[in-house]
Order: sequence, then C-alpha cells, then structure tokens
Amino acid sequence: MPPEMSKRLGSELERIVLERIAANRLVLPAMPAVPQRCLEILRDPDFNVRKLVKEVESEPVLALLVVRSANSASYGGGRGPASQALDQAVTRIGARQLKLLITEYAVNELFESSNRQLKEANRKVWEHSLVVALLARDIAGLIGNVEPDSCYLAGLLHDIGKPVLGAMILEVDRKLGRATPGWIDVTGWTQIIGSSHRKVGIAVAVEWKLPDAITSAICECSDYDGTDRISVGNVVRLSNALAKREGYTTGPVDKADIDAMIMVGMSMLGGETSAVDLLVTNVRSRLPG
Amino acid sequence: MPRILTIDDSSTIRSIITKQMSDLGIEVEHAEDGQQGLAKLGAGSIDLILLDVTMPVMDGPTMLAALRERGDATPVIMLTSESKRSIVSGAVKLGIEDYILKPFKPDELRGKVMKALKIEGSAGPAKGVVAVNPAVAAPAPAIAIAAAPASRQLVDLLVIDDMENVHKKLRSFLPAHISMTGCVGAREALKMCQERMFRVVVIDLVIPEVNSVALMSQLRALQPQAVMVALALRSAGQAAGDIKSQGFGDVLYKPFEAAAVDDFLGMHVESDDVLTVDGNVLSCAAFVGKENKLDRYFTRLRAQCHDALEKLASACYDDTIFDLSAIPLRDDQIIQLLVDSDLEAKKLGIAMRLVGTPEVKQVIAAVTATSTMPFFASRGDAQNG
Repeated sequence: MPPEMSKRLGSELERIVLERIAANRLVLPAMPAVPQRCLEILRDPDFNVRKLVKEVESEPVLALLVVRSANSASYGGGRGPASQALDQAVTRIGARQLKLLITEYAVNELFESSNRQLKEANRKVWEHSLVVALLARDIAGLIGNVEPDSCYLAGLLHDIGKPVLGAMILEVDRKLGRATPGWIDVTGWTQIIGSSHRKVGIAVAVEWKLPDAITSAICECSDYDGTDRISVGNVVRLSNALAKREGYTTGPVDKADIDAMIMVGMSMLGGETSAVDLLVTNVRSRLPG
Repeated sequence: MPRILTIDDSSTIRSIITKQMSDLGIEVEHAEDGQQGLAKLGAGSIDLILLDVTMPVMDGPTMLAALRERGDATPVIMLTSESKRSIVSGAVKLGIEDYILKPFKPDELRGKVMKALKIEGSAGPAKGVVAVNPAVAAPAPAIAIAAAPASRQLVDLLVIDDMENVHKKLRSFLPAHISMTGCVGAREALKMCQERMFRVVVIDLVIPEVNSVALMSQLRALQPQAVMVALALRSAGQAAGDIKSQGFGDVLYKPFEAAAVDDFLGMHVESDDVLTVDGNVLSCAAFVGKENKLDRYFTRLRAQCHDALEKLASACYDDTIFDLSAIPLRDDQIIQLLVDSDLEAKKLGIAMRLVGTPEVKQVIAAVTATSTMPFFASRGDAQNG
C-alpha cells in the first residue's frame, strides 16, 4: 500500500478511536472475572482466606502462579507439597503482594492477541513495562517516602492503553474491511498508538478502579509533577526514561528528551546517579524468561 | 581557584550559591539575566555557569543559545524551577552539563558543581562504594544524606529479619571482633545501607509483606561491595542452588549451627590474609577470633606459606626471613608449620631464617626438628645474620 494511503488510513483510524473516546462509546476490556472477584475480596482488610482460595482455585493458571510465587525464594521456599498448599501460599504471600500478583495476571491477559503483528508489538510493550516496573520499585526503595509496590504496579500499567488501543485498531480495521495484515506500516501504527494510548489507558484505569496514584502515572508520562515531587507518577516517569535509554522501547525516541527526563527526574527525586545506574545495569537479568 | 558564574534574577539564590561555593573555595561571579551573563563571560575566564531559565531581559535558554553560537563551550548547569521536558531537552541539545531543580539541597549543588569542575573527593562515591543522596527539597526524606561516602562506618554484618531473636542468636555465634547490626524491616534496612557500609548483608527470605529478592536487589545497588546472603529455614528444604539462582551470593540456614556460621564467616567476613609478603620477608598476621578457629588459622597459614615460598623462588630469592612475632602460641601448630615450610623451602633452594619473640623461640627450641633453625630476635638481626 502506498505510504500516503497508509497515512490517510492511519489518520482516519485515529479519528474514529478519538471520537469513540470523546463520545464515551469506547468498548473497554473488562477485568477478567476471577481476578476481579479476588481483588474485591482482598479490599477487605480482614478478608476470608478460604473464600479467596476458592476463587483462586477456579483459575488454575492463577492458582499455579500463586503457589509458584509462594515457593520462590522471595517468600522463603516451599513448605510441604506445593500442589496442596494454596491456602498456605495465600497466607505466606500476604494481601498486599497478592493484589499485585493478581493485577499483574489480569493485565498480562490484555497483552494476548491472536494477531501476529499485534502480539509482537504487545510483547515489546510488555517487556518495556516490566523494566519500568522493576526500576520504579527499586528507585522507590532507594529514595524512600513512596510505596515501592505501588510504583511497581504503576510502572507495569503505565502503557496499558497501548495493547487495548492496538486491539481496537484491529477491530476498526476489520469493520473497514481491511483484514489484510500489513495494510498500515509500523510507523503509522506507532504514531496512532503513541498519540492516543494515554486516553485509552486512563479509561481502562477508571474502569478497573485502579488507585489514583496509578491512574496519574498512566495519565502523563512526558512531564514531571512538580507539585508532588516524591510521588508514584514521578518515579514511573524517571523509570520510563531510564528504560528507554537502555533500549527497552517500543518506538523511536529522542535522545535529548530522554536525557532531559533523566536529569530532571534525578534532581526531583534526589536519586544518586551511580546507585540508579547500578539498578539499570542489572535489570536485564531480572526479567523473567 | 575555580570561578563560577551564577546567572539568576533572584538575589537570594545568588547569595545562597555564593555562600556555599565560597565554603568550597570557589570564586563566584554574578549576573541578574542572560545579557549581563554574556557580558561577564566576555570579561574574564569562567569555569562553570549556573544558569536559571526564567529571567527578565534575556532568559536562560536564549543566553545559552547565544553562548554556544559564539563558540563558547563553558560547562553549564541549569539551576531552575522549570521542569518541563521540552525546555530542558532544548538545553540538553545545547550541551548542558547537568540540571538542578529548585528548591535544592546544598549537597546536590556541591556534588554537581564539583563533578562539573572535576574536583576530586565529591564528584562521586569512592571506588566500590555507592552513596545515595536522597537530597530532595520536599518532603524531607527519612534518610540521612551520605555526603561523604568514604567515611561511612564499616560494619561486618547486616542482618534483616523481622524476628529480633534471630539477631540475638546469630550475634551469640559471632566472635567479639565481628561487628553486626540488625533490623526488622525493609525500610530500616535501606536506611542503614545508605548510612553505612557492610561486608555482608543477610536477608531473611520470609519477612511479612516484603519481597526479599526485590529488597536484595535494592540493597545491592546501595552496597555493591557486600555479599548478599539469604537466610532460609532449614526445614523449608529449599536447595541453596535454587536460592542462589535468585541472585543471592550464599545461604545461611536457621536455626544456626556453630560450624555453619564459622564456615560462613570464614568465607565472607574474615580476612584470608594471614600472611603478608614484603620482598623476601614473610610475616604472619595476628590471630583475632574465637579459640576454636585457631586450627583454621594455621591451616590457612601453612597453605599461604607454601604459595609465598613458591613465589619467592620464582622471583629468584634464595633466602627468606619468616617473622613469627605475631603468631599465636600453639606449640604443636607452630612446629608443624615450621617443619612443613622448612621442607618446602629446602625443596625450592631457599634458606629460611626465623624471627620471633622469646616465647616463640622457646617453643622452637623444645623440638629437635626445629631447634636448629636459625632464629633471631629482630628482622634487622636476621638480615645481618
């Protein structure tokens, strides 16, 4: 397809997506049922472990994830046969970490796609998001006064609009009758997603009732919030820039922009360069798989 | 004396900078806006510019562009309350050295100025030491600023376990000369790692609401020189290999066993250097530790003596002085060490002379195998003899 036509189609798609957002006609993915019910149970500080275990058990992959996490070195290894220890696993991990684990599981589902191109694009976004999440948690630990787990979750979700928007583009594409893969070039795809994903991400965050601090991190990643220097959003912004500097990116980046974001973030958050650089250096080894 | 030019329309900022820089022996010139700044730069040599963004007459970015246009590459640190990416990014393109957001902490200003001026001692942490400077204006962090990382107190062990009894138990297994501090949570651990240096950080794998692996990773950034050791429950049955694959350097099991703690200390805390070599002089180090570890000391000493003698032979020495002045008085071990070393020395064609205290001499004289070894009261005597 000639580049001009691809560009025009891209603009048309963007217009449709933005119109849907503006008219509140955006069909958002619902949070998967089991994770949603689990998170509802966990909202109660005195939650019923048996009730939670019952929910987790109904989703074998989630159950496996919980038991595996509880048996990892992070939580002190297994005591007794893992397959029979879901209740122990839930107790050992604790409510806060469980919320994190279940949300991460639910989010991961959004990155699944049967479309090859979208799957590949989502894989890159997921990898970038994981790096941002890991860095955000560690930077929060280093600077103090901000909750590391919230930073992790916000890092993981800061680009949540991208896979959702990607799926929407595919759907619109099908309706327009252009199911041929490759009708839009990578640049066009990146442009549409880059310019509109934040709006979609915020809509998802509201729909999923995510905490305000996380919504704020999704809302604006290109400038720091000077009114709240040590905040989840600012930690994610710095981590996002650091991840991009290290090549964990989903599209072209402006080096000066990245350097500026790092300089401002380091001064705003009070991070010491060599400590943060060390965190960045070993982040690859901490990526799963 | 280095000279900096501070360009800021706020007289308060200019005077704060002047005060702080004067304390460092740095001369400060002033300008109230970009235009004045350009004029001052034309008048004399300036090593560094501290540049505000928003100013009357000529703002910072315009002044910076004019400066670079006329070929002036003087390093610039942007010191401003402006944090917009688009503005800072423009300045980055014009080659700013660094950036400081107002309001700022004195340490941040000092550190960045000295780094830009390449003044040693404050630009960065000492080799192998990471200092975290959480110097932010608001809100004040709970963490003390490690302004002089090299001077941070060195502690042998940091133990992180939510049960204080674990700290007490481990302490009871340690010799008095091993320093140890303990804490019960992640935040406290991070604070300690920012304030002190540790040889070994021991992290319990089961701390409520704490992901121990993530905590270890955070602490590693603060203590890159330290060995990160996992504290695991023996009954958990988790193999050391599995735990190490998560990034830990070693595993220590609870409940503690004396032999395992000894091995752990020998491996990670106590110095292996029981022998120093200076030219052809070998000196054994004093023994510090619990009595039950003397055998380990002598085992290491024998092994290091063998290695040292081989090195002397490789360097074509045909004689050596073995200074035993600091050796602990364990008759059997001293005799065994000397018989072994003498045999090795003879094999290598090296003549060995001994130096030591009268007590050591008495030990040596009591046994036929060692009584004939040349013995001197001082190194000087040995060298002359």
